[in-house]
Amino acid sequence: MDTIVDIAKAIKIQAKDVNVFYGEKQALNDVSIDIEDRSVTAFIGPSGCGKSTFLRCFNRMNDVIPSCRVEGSIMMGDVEVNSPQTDPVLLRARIGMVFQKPNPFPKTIFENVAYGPRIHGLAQSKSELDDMVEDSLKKAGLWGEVADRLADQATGLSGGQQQRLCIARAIAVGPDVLLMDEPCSALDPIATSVIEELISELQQRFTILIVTHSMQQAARVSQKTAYFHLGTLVEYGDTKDVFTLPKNEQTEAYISGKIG
Amino acid sequence: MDTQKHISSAFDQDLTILNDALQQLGDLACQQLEGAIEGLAMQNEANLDKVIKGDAALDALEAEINEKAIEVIAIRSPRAKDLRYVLVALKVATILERMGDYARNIANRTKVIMTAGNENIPGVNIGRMGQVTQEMVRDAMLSYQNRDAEMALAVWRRDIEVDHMHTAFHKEVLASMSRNPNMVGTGAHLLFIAKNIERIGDYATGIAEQVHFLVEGAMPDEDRPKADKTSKVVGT
Repeated sequence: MDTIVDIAKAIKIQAKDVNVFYGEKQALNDVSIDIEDRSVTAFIGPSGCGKSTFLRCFNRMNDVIPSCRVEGSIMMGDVEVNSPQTDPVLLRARIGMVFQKPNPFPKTIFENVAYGPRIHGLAQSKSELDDMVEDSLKKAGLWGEVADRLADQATGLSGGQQQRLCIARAIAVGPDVLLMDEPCSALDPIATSVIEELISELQQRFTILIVTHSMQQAARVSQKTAYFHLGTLVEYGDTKDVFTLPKNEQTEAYISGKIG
Repeated sequence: MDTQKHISSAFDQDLTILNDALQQLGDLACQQLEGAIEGLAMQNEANLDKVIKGDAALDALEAEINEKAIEVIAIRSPRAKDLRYVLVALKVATILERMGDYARNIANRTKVIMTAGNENIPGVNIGRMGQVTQEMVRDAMLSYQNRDAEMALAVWRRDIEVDHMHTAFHKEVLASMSRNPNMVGTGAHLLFIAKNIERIGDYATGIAEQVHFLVEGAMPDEDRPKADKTSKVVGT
């Protein structure tokens, strides 16, 4: 329709010709993708397709695997993620990560969130740190449930609450980007809905990349979807197009439940 | 049907059930239409009664298709072509059921015309109209069966033939009514019958559009040719 103006979003991250090797085995082949700012991009595909490997490229998590070698370029603004000059610790403050299983530190709720700002020296005073913790817990939609028990052990929280605590912990250090690797796979449907609602809210402030095995989840939370197969980016486009009229037959077969 | 199977064989079975039921409904609608047109041409009361009674089967089958489609959506979460497949089944079933209603209405009106006992009923164009419409419905269902978007487009473009015949017949009946006041009652029913047949032609194009959407993922992108001028005819 004429009245709808298509406003192209700014590009937050540009990945170009990314190849990943585990020893001799190539796990990703020449993956190039532009990630839009303040949007949710879902990576989908069968197990072993390379989607998690690709996600881990964005904050150099593959560095911790000795046999892993990453080639190509991932530019976030003027920062080359793959450059040896880029400090992975500082990079991970800008690009936070939430994992499959909630992994809170065996510390209090407060300490879990305060840990990042403290080691990065982001707070000048106790009250400033308190404010950061409160702000992060509010953004993660957890404050109302834990405000009166910040000194309790984080491990006493429910699975869904623990996962939101991990999100609060990730955003406490002020990242631009959040990587989520199957963040709801260990949660029940209610906790999953809460996290998905949270993702929609967080998208206003952060660029979110999410790996999910749930195609319904990818369809619900993301604006862009990338389909991977055998280490290759097969199709990348608007989520509504990928799930209604995919261009590629492999994508169609996967989203229709015809290949595993 | 697509050759590539789902991992879940039950999903394939569900889609097959939906497909078979829709084909069956298409066959029934064609039979009803044929019965109504033949009944009109031959003034055969037994044929007309069969059409009137036969409509309930279409209603029941449409309800079954609706129920199955809702079940597939709720349980299988179909996507892409599978989703279009289910949505198209729902829409085409509604169209076929409506065609059945029009066939029944033609049969009812023909029976009224028969009791009036008018002779010299103007009927050349309406017979041809009925024939073309039946061909369109058959071809539309065949294009569905074969997932043939080109064939569907051919049906879609053919509707203009029915429109032309409808306009001509409309004028013919009006002329007959103005010449012979005894023809007014019969003529009014004939106008409705002709309109019913013309609407069935429109519905055939509706099926064709759905087939195009199923195969291509989009409705036909050209304007459908139309030539039904009866709404502008004021007299003879």
